[in-house]
Amino acid sequence: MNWKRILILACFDLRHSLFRLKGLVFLIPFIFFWYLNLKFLYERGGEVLTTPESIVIISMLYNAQLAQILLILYPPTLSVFLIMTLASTPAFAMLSGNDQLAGDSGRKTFRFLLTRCTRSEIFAGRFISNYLLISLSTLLMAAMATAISLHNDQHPIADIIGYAGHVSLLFLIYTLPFVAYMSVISALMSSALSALLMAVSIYVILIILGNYLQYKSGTAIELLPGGLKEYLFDLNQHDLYIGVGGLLAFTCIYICIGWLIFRRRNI
Amino acid sequence: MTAIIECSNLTRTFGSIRALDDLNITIPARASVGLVGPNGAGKTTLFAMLCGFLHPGKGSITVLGHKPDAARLKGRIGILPQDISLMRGISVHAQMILFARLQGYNKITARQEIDQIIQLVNIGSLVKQFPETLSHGQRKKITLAQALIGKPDLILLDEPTAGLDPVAANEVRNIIQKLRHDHSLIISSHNLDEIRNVCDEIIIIDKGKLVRHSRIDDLIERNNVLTILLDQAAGEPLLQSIKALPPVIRIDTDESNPHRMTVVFQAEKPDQIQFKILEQLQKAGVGIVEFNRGSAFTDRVVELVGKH
Repeated sequence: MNWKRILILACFDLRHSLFRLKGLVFLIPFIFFWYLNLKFLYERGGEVLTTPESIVIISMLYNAQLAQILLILYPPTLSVFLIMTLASTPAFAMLSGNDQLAGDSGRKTFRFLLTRCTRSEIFAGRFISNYLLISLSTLLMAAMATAISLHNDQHPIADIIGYAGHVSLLFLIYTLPFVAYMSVISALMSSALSALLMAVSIYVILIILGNYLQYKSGTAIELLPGGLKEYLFDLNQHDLYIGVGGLLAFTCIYICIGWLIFRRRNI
Repeated sequence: MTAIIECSNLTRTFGSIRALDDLNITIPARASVGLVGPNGAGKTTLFAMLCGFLHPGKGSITVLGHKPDAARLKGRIGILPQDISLMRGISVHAQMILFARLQGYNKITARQEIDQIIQLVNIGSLVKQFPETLSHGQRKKITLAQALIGKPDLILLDEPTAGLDPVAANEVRNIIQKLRHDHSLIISSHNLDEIRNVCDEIIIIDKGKLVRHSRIDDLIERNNVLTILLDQAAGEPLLQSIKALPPVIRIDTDESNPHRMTVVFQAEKPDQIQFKILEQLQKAGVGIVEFNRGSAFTDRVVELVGKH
């Protein structure tokens, strides 16, 4: 693999995603979603997040101990930002990644690239550009959430900055398997819309199947990376390692499957 | 001479359809080769396999000594694909710069290379536009231009003049004429005059099988044949009078086109027999639309495909 060509492809795709439908399909809902949520956190977050009602709501989602840690021990604005990021990543990854490979495979425009670079370079270039699009956008929102946290939360500045770095690192890792999942789906399909519908369908099926298997066996069976997000709230370091390791394993598996499909695909 | 392309027992199926069927081809370096055959003969499939777009079902291909998907081959082949446009929503110039950069040019030399190609193909007014805003003919010129970036060793042109107006088609033919001296060319086209004017060799395929691979000069008899297109069907008395000329061996006529006849003769001085035939035509009061030395290339190709 020629990394220079991969970077050229990734930068070109990233730059042009911002002004084309494939990028705008993601960016418009993404910006709208975060505008509303960050506006709420800025205007009312300071007074609402540390109330008992908020702790009860987070306790219902996870557990009481975790809710207290997230909203009292850590800066609550960034904790809520992390929860919302982890919850919304699958949807935004599907919106941003549906045209990773599908559209250009279907329209056969990859033929202009394939005489100049290898399939593996195209695959890697598109994966990286898609990952950069979603992660850089989220990092920008994290910077805004950090600014809001510095304004609203009653924690030392160093703690807030440190926790912001920790939160950013977590969502950068958490995003990886979802982008890789979309590379599998996008390598299979021939249009962005069909890839999006297929991604949603398979995701829902895997959730149902995972729950069914869990119900039958009585043990937690994670068929999707989304099931690992609770491990990321570092109540103890062992759980954090399981979560990060699991996410990286999902990423590797999805990338391998996506590459095997794209390698054999007629373009 | 080393071969630029070697296909051995190449077979490719799409469901129950055999697009290529046990095809064996060897093309020498610096050749200009015309690839002809009826619609669905497998020409575009062959091009797609040479560039690694499609994987061969059976058999093997080497292009410039490498497998089609080899990393070492990248940037050494230029292709004008049939009816495929560049990426939508991105200016032609930006895409051409991308292609040049992928072929190893830096930002400055990429611009210089693209400027040269823009001049060669005369697309200066088109490059700032998006591909979807261009006409079919303009898109064709753009895709031809991108195939020339980086002076590739081998250029594959799939129907380069199809759908172009006569002026644009002529421009493209002139560009191809310039290219043939510096590159190996393979041109797939239904326009046999184009093939005859540009190519040294011809490959005829039909139903995925090789019908003929030869030099064009070997395919058409240039010396002892006259092909004459008349303004009316030649009557039996006229045919008999020409047949009676001593050097004439036979006259071939075509039932589907009775205005055309091919005169095969054996003479050391072919000019004299031409004058004698003209004399007979004048006597019979038959006008001449075309009078060519050599057999008609188109007829020969049609005959070969028909026999297959």
